[in-house]
Amino acid sequence: MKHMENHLKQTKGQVRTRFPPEPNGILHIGHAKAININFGYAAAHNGICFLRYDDTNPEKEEEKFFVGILDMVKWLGYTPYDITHSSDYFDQLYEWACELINKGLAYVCHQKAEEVKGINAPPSPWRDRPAAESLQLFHDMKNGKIDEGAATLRLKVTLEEGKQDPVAYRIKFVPHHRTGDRWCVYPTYDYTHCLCDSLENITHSLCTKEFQARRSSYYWLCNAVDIYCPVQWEYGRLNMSYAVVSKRKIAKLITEGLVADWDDPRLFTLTALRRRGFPPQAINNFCAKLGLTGAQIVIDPEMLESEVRDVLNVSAPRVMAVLEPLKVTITNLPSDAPAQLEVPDFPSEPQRGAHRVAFGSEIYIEASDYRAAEEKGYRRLTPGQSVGLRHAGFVIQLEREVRDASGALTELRVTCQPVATAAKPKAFIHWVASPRPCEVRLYDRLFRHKNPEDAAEVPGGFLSDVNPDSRTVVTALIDGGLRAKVYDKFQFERVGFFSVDPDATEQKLVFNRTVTLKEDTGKN
Amino acid sequence: MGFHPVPHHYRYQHAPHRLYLPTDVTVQLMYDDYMLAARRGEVQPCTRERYRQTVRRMNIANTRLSGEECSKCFAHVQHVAEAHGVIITEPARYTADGCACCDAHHAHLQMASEARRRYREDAEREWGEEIVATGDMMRVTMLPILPLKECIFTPRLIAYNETFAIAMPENKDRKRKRRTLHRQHNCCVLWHEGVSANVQVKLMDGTNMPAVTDGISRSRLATLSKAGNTMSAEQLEQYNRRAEQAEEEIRQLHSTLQKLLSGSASSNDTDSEEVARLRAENQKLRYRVGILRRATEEEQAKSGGAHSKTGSTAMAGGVQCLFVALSELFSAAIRAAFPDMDEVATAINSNSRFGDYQCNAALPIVKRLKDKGVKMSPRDVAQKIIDCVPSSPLVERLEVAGAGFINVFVNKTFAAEQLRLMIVGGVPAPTVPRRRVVIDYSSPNIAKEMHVGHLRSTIIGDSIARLLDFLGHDVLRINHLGDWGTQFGMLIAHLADKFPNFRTETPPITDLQAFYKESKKRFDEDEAFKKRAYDCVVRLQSYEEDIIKAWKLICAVSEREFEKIYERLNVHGLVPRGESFYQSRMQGVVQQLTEAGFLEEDDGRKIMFAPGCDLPLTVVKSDGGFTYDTSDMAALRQRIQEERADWLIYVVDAGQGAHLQSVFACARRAGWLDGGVRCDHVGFGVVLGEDKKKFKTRSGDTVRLVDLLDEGVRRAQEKLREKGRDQELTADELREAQENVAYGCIKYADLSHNRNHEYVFSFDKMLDDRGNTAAYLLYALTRIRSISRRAQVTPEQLLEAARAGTAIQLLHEKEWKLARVLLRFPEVVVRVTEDLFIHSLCDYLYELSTTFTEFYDNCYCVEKDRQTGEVVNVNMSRMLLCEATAQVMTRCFDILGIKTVQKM
Repeated sequence: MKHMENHLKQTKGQVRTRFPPEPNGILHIGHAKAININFGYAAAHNGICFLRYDDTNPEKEEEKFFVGILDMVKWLGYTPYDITHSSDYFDQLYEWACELINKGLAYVCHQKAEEVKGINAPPSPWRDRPAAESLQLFHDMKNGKIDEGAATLRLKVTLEEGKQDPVAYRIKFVPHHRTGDRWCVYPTYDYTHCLCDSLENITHSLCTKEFQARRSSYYWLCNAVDIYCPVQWEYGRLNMSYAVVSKRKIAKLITEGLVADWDDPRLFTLTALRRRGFPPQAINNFCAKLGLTGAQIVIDPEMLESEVRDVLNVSAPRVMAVLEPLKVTITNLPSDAPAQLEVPDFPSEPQRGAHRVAFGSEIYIEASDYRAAEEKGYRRLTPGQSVGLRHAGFVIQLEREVRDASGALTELRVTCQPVATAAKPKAFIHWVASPRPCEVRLYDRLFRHKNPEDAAEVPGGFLSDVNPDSRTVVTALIDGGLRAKVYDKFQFERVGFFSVDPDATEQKLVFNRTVTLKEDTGKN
Repeated sequence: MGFHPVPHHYRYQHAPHRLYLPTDVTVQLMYDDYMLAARRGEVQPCTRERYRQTVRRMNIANTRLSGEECSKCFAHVQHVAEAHGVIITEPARYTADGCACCDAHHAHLQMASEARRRYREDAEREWGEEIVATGDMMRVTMLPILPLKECIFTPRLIAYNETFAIAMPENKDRKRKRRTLHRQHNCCVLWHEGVSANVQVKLMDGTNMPAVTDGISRSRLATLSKAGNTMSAEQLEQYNRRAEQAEEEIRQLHSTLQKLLSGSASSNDTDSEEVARLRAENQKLRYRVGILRRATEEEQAKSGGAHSKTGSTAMAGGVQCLFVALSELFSAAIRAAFPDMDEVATAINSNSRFGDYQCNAALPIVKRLKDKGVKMSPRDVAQKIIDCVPSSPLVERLEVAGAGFINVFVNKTFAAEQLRLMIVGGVPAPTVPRRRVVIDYSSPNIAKEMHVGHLRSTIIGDSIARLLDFLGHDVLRINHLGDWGTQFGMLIAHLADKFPNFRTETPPITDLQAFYKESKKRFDEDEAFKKRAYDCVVRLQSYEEDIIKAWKLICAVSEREFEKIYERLNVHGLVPRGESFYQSRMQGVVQQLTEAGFLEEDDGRKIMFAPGCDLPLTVVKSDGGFTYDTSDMAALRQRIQEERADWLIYVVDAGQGAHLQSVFACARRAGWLDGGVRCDHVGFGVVLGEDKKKFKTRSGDTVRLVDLLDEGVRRAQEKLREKGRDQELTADELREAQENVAYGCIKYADLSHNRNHEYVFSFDKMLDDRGNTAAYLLYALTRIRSISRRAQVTPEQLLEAARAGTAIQLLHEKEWKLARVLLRFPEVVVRVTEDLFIHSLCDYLYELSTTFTEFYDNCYCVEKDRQTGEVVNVNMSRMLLCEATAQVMTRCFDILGIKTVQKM
């Protein structure tokens, strides 16, 4: 009770949460949920949220992960109240471990890691050794006198699933990112997590469902050390179908050359989503819609993509770009036809601004917007069917095709008529004039199956399930006047949403297709 | 013309009506075909003209294409035509903005032109004996006649365009000639544009090199006589792939080679698993060593702390050596920042103009990283080290300066507390592992008088012994007297003649020098006496009782004389142990060395060599007698085995250096120095007179030490009188002052010079009360002491103030400067024990004194009423600084063996 009073005195009843990632990998969509829940819950209750790097395993930590995590939290629009590290508390944790030994609640054990694996591990023969002996051995562990793996400190508590005496400290002769060479014993998650929560006066320790089994040890430990005990709440983990998020597996994909890097836009890491052009707001909306439930859910990426469309639809300006260019020469363009046209950024809301695009007798259209053969239901340009040029105010009519020696179509020569006088065309198509070429990367799902990691669904393992055509690169033409910087997002009219890739240079723009305009790609 | 050219269609423009050679033809294939034809007798000489005719007759594509024979150029022309709608003939000339494809091709062309440049270079170079064939791959087309110069390809080379050529010297008997050539000159140099134009492939494999060429004029084409298969578009694709693969391999080999050349094959993927595992293990072990080392240090610090509690004054509780503490901090930081790196010196420097200390470890680390292939700027390295420096109360802040120096600013509160502790607990000696030290110095010869040459050994040795005492070592001072020479024969004979009843009555010899001269005179003039003298030597060495008694008498007289001088010089605790002491032990040494097989016969002598020194020791003379080498070896062994010393110091003039090194080396070889015995020869240069020549009296005799000391006292007295001090001081005070000043100055003049150098003995200089002299320093100390006297603050009051925790303010720049110098004392002392150069302690003392003067000139310690002279205000913090200075200076004088004076 005194701890609660003390806690209330310090927090004044404010909600305090924390997002505690291990800094040993890149954040993925699942973390987005954790970030949203922790930061969102605190924000909703006028509380604060810590970013705590749970850096208790020095072997796997790297500087870039620390930076990357903060970068992603900020990208999602959240600012931690404070950034802390589990390693900040190593001294306190060590002191408490000594106290636990003295209280007879922890002991030094020499069972090997293999021996204590599994459910029915034999109880430790060292469980009842005298406290003084354990304490001395624990000091020896700390002072480097004992070999790695030859001793651990274990807590005298049984977990929910019957697992006995979890390990609290193990020896690792590895320098730590922050504490340098001070330590060669490092605390485990089980030992560190709840104590750090307590030290930071966390009110709601929110974690995923898997940790339900650790709840009793969480409470036990806080009480054993005799400190304030936060309350642990579990929520369901978010899984995404058609995706692989495990660090090891992504690394495998990278080394196999199946994806380019951690931020390959086909992955579901947060950096990948950013690169692909997903707005953070869409991810947050998505998480908000999932809600805070206890059920473990598997979500189709389509749901996330639809959030992305909703956000981009009102935020990404429209431009015209041609992915598969076909040259069109207008033979009778009036000499007074404008060389530049004003085109609204958002046609439905013209007040939000406009940009200028070039126009002229030589334009490019999508090759698929012309068919040499008449076809029922095909509404665009054919030898007998005219089509309107979007924004230009002209309707074009085929004059003749130009083909090269091999018979390939190289150019269309057309005549034009102002929209006002021409017969109303069945459709308007987009086009570009005086364009500049740019690289456009089109992405598809990386995996063919919903659960690439499921051996029943994909017997050959997730690597065999990679869709080799999941990435195609085309050279597209875009209006020569378009200026864009990395991560700028556009709607290419009639094509889809695109975002400027970090590979883009002053000379050469590179776009990633974020999502198509509609769920069903390819309109005919 | 063997390899029948066939029509091909894969080229979009040139295909019809033209014949092309198959692309899988290799030189080996051609050669085999040629040999077959030769065996069938079908071989005809193939001249250039004949070749040309054949080509023309068969309508073989001879057109020099515009570069599209290179598949990349070919693809580019297509690309330009398709993507940019422009038909080009020269691939070089078209680049479109923002087209990655065109950019890539541009780079390709640059490589090609570079390749061509290098090719020309090689073609024009004089190759001398070597016959070298070079070919420009870019220009080699389907048929070698066209732009080909001298070309060679082997099956081992995957040529970009699958082209080939062979040229042979004009010779009827080609086969034989070819063999010879091939044996002699199997070298070619190729530049291949596909290899980024920067790899020189030197093919030296004779078996795969069927031909070489000696020039175009005499070149001839080998037969091309085999039906080729048609080449399809797929094949072309396949070859391109193969070529790309080969290029990639070459690139990889190239980078591996670069890595190997730069000497860092570290942690790349070529490591075997075993290496990687061992490397990881090594890293862990190294890490563990660090942890263990620190744990040990902590243990030691703890037990050290316990000592000081039990009343040991060696290290006042809590006072730290800043230098050591900083070195530890930075060494930990460097280990944390660069865990892969072997131990790096922390390079802490206290003479920083910018911070209080400076750590210069960044540059060597940058160099090591560079060796490993890691590029990092010195400033970044410095910053990384700073980031890893564990927090410490003694560090105020750290900053990177200049080219990666780390300036350390010491926390003033911490420093002030250290000074306070210093006043309370006395000037601390740094804690060092305690050793048993035997130090050998002074070492005059019995019956001869000490001269100025013995002065240096005595002064330097005494100071080092005092320093080691201060550090808590167990010090044994040995006076290795020369008491066992042939001169004793004549001395004893003379004694027996002059004082026949010396056995019962101690002869009143006062002037041993005169006694020696007398006997020497008789020895030179009186044959009978000479004989008796030799007889005495034999009897002495057989330890005849009477003779030993006489010898002891003489030694006692001599030692009494020496003792007087030691007393005057304030040298105490020297244990006289002459050569005679080791006589019985020499036999044992010889026996041990003989049994161990260390001794070698040399012209009847027995000598001992040791690794690392050229001069052998003569352990046994050809007449069976022993030498100085023998007695020195015996003394060394005695000091280690009987005295249990683990540190031997010999304060002997520099001329003995080679001899001592031989003794050390032989002792090491004999295994006596096992277990970490440290041996130091503290050498020193000669004393010069003011004429820069060896110090002599005007008559040319060596200067007697006694005379020198007397002279010094007289001069000091003069000096004091000059200043009117005889008016102010009592007779006792004056006498104390003049003696202490005189001896102090003589000692200080000696000690303040680098002992390895000669120094000029000059009373005028050493008694000067300005500059780095004892006269100045002693006076400075009396002045500091007088400050508190004038402020009417007693030493007890000062101590009480420090005990009560009076904070020492280090606000003024000069206060801080003084504090920093004071805190450097332990570090200076430790450094002196490393190199045994006492002059660094003198330099420190002088620096301290001048720094104090700066402080005192700038900071009021006592305020007095101008009229009444009454003390108005005493700045206690500054009084404590004065006290700390006085204490450190006193401690320095103590180590130097110089007595301070209360007034002068």
